[in-house]
Amino acid sequence: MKPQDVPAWATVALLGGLLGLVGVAALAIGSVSVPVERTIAILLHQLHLTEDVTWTPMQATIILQVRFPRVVMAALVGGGLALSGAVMQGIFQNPMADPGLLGVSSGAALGAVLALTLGLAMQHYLILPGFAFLGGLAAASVVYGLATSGGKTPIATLLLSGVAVSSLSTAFTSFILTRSQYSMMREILFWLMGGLEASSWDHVRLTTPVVLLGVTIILLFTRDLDILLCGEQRALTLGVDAQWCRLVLLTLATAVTAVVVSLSGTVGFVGLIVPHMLRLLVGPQHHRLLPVSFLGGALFLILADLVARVLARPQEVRLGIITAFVGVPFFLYLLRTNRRGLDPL
Amino acid sequence: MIASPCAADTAAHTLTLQHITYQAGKRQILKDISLHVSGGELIAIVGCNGAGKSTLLHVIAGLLPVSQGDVRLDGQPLSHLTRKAIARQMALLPQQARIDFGFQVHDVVRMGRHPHRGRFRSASPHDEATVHRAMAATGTECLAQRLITEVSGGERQLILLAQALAQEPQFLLLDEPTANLDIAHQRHVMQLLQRLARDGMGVVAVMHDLSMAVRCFPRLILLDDGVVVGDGPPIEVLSVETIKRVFRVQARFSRDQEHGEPLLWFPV
Repeated sequence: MKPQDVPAWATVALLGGLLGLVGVAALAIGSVSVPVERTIAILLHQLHLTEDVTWTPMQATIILQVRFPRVVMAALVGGGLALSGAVMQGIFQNPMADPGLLGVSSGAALGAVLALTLGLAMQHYLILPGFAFLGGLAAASVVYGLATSGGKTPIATLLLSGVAVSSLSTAFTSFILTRSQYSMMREILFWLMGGLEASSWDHVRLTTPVVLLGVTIILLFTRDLDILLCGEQRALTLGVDAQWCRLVLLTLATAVTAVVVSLSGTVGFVGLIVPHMLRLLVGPQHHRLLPVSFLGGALFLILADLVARVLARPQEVRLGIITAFVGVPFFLYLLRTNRRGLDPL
Repeated sequence: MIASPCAADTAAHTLTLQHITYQAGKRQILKDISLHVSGGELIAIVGCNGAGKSTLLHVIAGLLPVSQGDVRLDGQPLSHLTRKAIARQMALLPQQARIDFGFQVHDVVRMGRHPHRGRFRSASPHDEATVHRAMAATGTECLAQRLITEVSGGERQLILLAQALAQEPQFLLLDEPTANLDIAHQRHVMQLLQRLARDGMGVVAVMHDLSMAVRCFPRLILLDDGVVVGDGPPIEVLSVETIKRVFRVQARFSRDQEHGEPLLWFPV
């Protein structure tokens, strides 16, 4: 059976169902285990579907105030990164592109490290993500500005300026790191390795509108993304304004990435592996690939975060380490089996 | 059959270039080019490497900004039309176009309907019928379920031609449509272009193969260093003297013994 023979709704339904199951499991499992039926009862009570209280107040707090926002954040971060990755791969006509390609991840890291090292991060819980967000957007704007001349932004130049600016921000981050106190160094390294332990409903309220708005607008461009894969000349003569489409899509994907990365820290490989795996499953057409990538990314990161929480209980393993442990072998597998995808020309 | 003009649409469509000059940096690539192409014409642009053939094709397609003059579709300057409006009237098949993602062939051809569809409109029965006709005309129906990454180079060229035909353009521009094809595919493409022109489409192709250009195209445009130095029937445009002057090759004409067709060849 070819990938395209599986109906899109079936894949969406399957992933949606899995997402629900894994979500509930991720709520129930943790350093304090709450039985699954009690977890479900707590959720149902919250929806006013049941009146009986069979749990302790502490269990309710753990589920509703600690784990639930964290699971939702994992879904938003994973979904946002995977969808942005799929968009970047389409725009750059390269299945190896990832959402951090325009320097947004390393820029966000530099912003976060600045906020930490200047001592501003302690003053308000939004200062760290705020700095990270601005750092990410600033880096991406510099990359786009450097690559644009005479109203044109060649893809190859964009890619190279992305690499250059990323390296530069990483160098700055390393410089600050080496000049920091030991305790600060530890805090910075923790952020750089990514994690969702700080997630609260406030974070969810901030992230949700940006991610959903970005995703919704991106989904209006699925046909244009398909056509961009025919090459720029063909896209233009098929009536797709390639430059404009790219700018809109890069801006949205970068904004979504900057928002989620600013709250999760650096979480590598989600944006690379998830769309790639799902492309094998549903084919390259973006009206299938993008929704499925969002769901798949959400599923993947909830699972990865669950592993991060339980692998070395009571301590947490950093989320970025888990995604890299899964991501790197997959990346190498792609290197071995899919050489053509690596050099499109 | 794809381009057959509807009953009300009897007047032939026109594509006009008026005093086009195109500059890349300080270098003038095209110098004061004026041309007139009508629906139903089958035209080959010929010339040396670097004479500006592909550039001319891209200027006609509105891909490159000209420094002087304008390109008009049915009297309308391209600059007044949206990309989609241009794409409904004119299709370009670039040189060695390729797609590296595993789309199904049918979906690739359906992309040709893009300029006729709104952002929120799914493919209509008319869209599907047009896609089907385009695939039938190019003989690619049997490939419909295959992946574009898994077909041969010749098949890919025909599929991309089908995608261009699905645009239902009045003018079809092709950059070396027969390059890298075996002779069976070359013949298939040429027969298709001749049929499209007979049915009223204006077809303009950049051709490197002079012999094929002379045999198959009723009108040639000869470019030399960005200037049109010949425009007319092949025998007039490509005389042995002109070929010697422009290409610096001593060519010869002979006649095909069976059909009397002119054959252009050159001793190596």
